[in-house]
Amino acid sequence: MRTLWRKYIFQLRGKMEIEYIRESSKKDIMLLLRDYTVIVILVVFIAMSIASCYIGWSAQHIVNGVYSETAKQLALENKPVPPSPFSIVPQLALLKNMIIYVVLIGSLLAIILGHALISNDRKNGISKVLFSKPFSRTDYLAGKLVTASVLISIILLLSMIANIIFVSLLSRITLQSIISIVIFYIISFFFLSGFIFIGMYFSIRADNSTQAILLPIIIWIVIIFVIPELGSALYPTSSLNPVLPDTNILGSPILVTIHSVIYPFSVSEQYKALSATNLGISSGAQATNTSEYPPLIQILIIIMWMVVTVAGAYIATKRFDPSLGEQYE
Amino acid sequence: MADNEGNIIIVRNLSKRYGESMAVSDVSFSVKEGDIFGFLGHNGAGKTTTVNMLTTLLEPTRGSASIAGFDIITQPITVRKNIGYVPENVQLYENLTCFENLEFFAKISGIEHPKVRIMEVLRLLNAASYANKRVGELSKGMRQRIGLAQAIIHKPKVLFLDEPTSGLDPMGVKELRDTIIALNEQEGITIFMNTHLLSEVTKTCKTIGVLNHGKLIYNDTLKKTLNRFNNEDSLEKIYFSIERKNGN
Repeated sequence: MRTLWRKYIFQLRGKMEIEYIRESSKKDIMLLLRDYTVIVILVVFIAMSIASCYIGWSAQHIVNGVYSETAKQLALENKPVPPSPFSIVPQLALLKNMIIYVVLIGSLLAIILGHALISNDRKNGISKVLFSKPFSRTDYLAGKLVTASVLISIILLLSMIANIIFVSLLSRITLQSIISIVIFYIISFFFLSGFIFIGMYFSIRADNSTQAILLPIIIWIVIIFVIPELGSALYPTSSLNPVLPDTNILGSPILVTIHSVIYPFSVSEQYKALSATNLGISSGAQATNTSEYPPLIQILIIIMWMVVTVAGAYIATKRFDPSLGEQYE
Repeated sequence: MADNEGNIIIVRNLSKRYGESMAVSDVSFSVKEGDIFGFLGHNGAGKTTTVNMLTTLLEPTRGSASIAGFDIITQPITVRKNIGYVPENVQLYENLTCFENLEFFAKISGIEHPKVRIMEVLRLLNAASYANKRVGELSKGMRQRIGLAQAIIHKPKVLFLDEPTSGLDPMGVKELRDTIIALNEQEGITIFMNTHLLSEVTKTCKTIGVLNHGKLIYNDTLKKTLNRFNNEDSLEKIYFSIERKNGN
């Protein structure tokens, strides 16, 4: 088994030119950093994560202030002081908004990033020059994967640092909370990578740049809004809330059937539920909901999502016809 | 490497079909090492499709071809190591400087000391002063030079040029012509040039091939062609005469 594995790695190394992949990735990062759209994306995402923490911190700060004033007043009047409302709220509850930001905005930004990664090569037919060089399509795609991974890791890392700082400003952060935040960002990495690959897939396959951006946005609407609405028809507000309500709002058997058929394919629902469980903010309803999968299955669904989208990008790259480069405008 | 007869490009029954129409049909010819080959034909004749197949960008439907002894279908990566390609309307990354563009193309071509080679090529093409300018800021003529630089950065044996003079002013055309001849004579690069500018063919090429509706209808040296059609006073008239003979 070990010999087979080593043989496979050797073959893979032989087929891929690490130097070419590195250079391709370096060039892509240079181009993206000179593209204002991409810079705006990075700034927006990091600003969003800071805003998410600030909103959570601010709400908690105000409620705590009101609570301490009230508690002081009650104490003066020799009345019993009820516990702080935040004493029963999990420490990472202030990151609840972050889950929704990743689902709604992060995924859209990831599509634009994936689109930008390919369109730089397809604009004006540069791909014709690129593929006339001793540069294989596998190297090309590997370079894009490295760039996408580096960029998304940097964005998520900055966002994670901001989260940890805000949580620790509010209360004494535990090691468990730090681990949960790290896991949340790892899950987000897999989830967002899928959208980058969707952006790349359509930018490779589309005949022109308008199609290349419009088609993945339609797919984004389906994944983020349509499927979750069908899959969570029992909970119509769920696309804006990672925590499901305690009771079934609608008990129609048709909706229950739609939910059970669609739910496994709703990657955004799986992501929301898994993130909420990981951050310790899921309600009792999720634990008792029969259609809710165990975390391991949810992790597998999210990893499958990434594998399927990267396979799509690979097939598109293999079938790409660089001789049509000039038509992409 | 050229074959025993000195041919560096050998094309045998090369064909490309798009749906029902044949863009290129059973084209066979060869180009000698050190030649400047002018590939002539009106718009839509199949010149670019042929070059796309020879540069391994497009897979032929039928037939075969080899460049410097390497098969375009079974050894595409090795073929690419031996060719340079400048498409019509030079394509480069607009947001990168000329140097950054050339550095990227040099590195993915496997050049060991890219910086030295880049400056060498830029000096050869009189473009060294533009090294740190962004490509988006360059004139058409200067872009053409940087496009040529990316194509010869890895010292290819064969250089493919697709309508190289397209959109250039007369001075740009002259400069490019001089550069092509210099690359051929000083660097020993075989040139394969797609064009429909017959005046340029007369001044630059040693051999010509004429493509019409995807079929090669003529292929010979320019000298023999001019002797054969000595009753015609220009290459333009010869070209029309060849096309007429083939029923156009």
